[in-house]
Amino acid sequence: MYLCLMYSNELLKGTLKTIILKLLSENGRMYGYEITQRVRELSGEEIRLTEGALYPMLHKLEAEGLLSTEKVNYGKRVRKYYTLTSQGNISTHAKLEEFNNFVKTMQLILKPKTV
Amino acid sequence: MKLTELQIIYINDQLKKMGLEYAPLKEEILDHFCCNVEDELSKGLTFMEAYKLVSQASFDEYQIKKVQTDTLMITSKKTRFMKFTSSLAASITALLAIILFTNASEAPSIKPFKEKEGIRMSSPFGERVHPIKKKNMHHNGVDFAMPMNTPILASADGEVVDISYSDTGYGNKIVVKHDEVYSSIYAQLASVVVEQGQPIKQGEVIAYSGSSGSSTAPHLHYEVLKDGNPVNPEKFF
Repeated sequence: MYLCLMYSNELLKGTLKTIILKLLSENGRMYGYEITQRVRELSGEEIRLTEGALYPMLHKLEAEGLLSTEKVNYGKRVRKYYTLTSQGNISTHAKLEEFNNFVKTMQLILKPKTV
Repeated sequence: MKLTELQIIYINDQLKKMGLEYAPLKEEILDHFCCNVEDELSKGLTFMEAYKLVSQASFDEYQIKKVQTDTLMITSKKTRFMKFTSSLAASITALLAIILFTNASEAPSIKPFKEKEGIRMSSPFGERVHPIKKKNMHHNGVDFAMPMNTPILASADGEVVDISYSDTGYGNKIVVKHDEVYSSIYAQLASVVVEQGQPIKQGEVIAYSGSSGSSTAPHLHYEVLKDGNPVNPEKFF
């Protein structure tokens, strides 16, 4: 699903939605390829999203009303940009909060035992 | 480094040959592929070197099929209701168009494919022994054995009211509503090229045949529903 050097797909599976929503909330409108490049850069080349993972999720978020799209002619091809809707904004906050709490909780469980 | 028009046409043709045909994804997969190629060109590769590298790394036939099926599944299964509400305006327009421009009855009146060698009816309508379950069951449609990726045509004007997938039974399936009385179902499809809510014309290509559900070989399962009940489609050919 992902092409990833360090983490298992299993671990990444639940994070794709959060990654997409967060990137869009920071960058405004983005197109698919741009998202893959940004993830690659930000993760220090450790996470590479494949189009096979990305596009079904983008279309799902669009169908759920979290993203809106806009098509722009780019030379002889068409570029499809995604933007968060107001519902998408709310969802982004909720997802980020959930994820941050999850990380904290995991750390509680996994932290080394202190004597 | 930006691709030339000819290079884009070349990539588009190749993607088409690999089976890229699902309308909601076509443009952006092409753009994504082109971006990848441009990226490689800027590293000093020639166009053909860059093209080969990208198609081997991420866009082979299997992956193109998979991204289309996954997108279709993920969007048609979980959001049918939302799609319904958001496309309400479109549906009303389509409905008006149907009322204004068509006759009272739009019963299916052609076979859902172009007759050619290699296509034959493999299972008729009615009672039969199910080929996989080996039980006596009613067959709600007719099966036509045909090569993979044979174009499937709408048997009458209408509107696409459902696109869905199940790995048992129908596989990828389209339901077209022709009027208040008649609908038709096309199943076991490899891929779908129309969208839910789209008005379609008789003879228009709506999908390509496959073997995506409970099936032993590539075929089209075709049903005609009259008032919601399956009737023998052969009566309408």
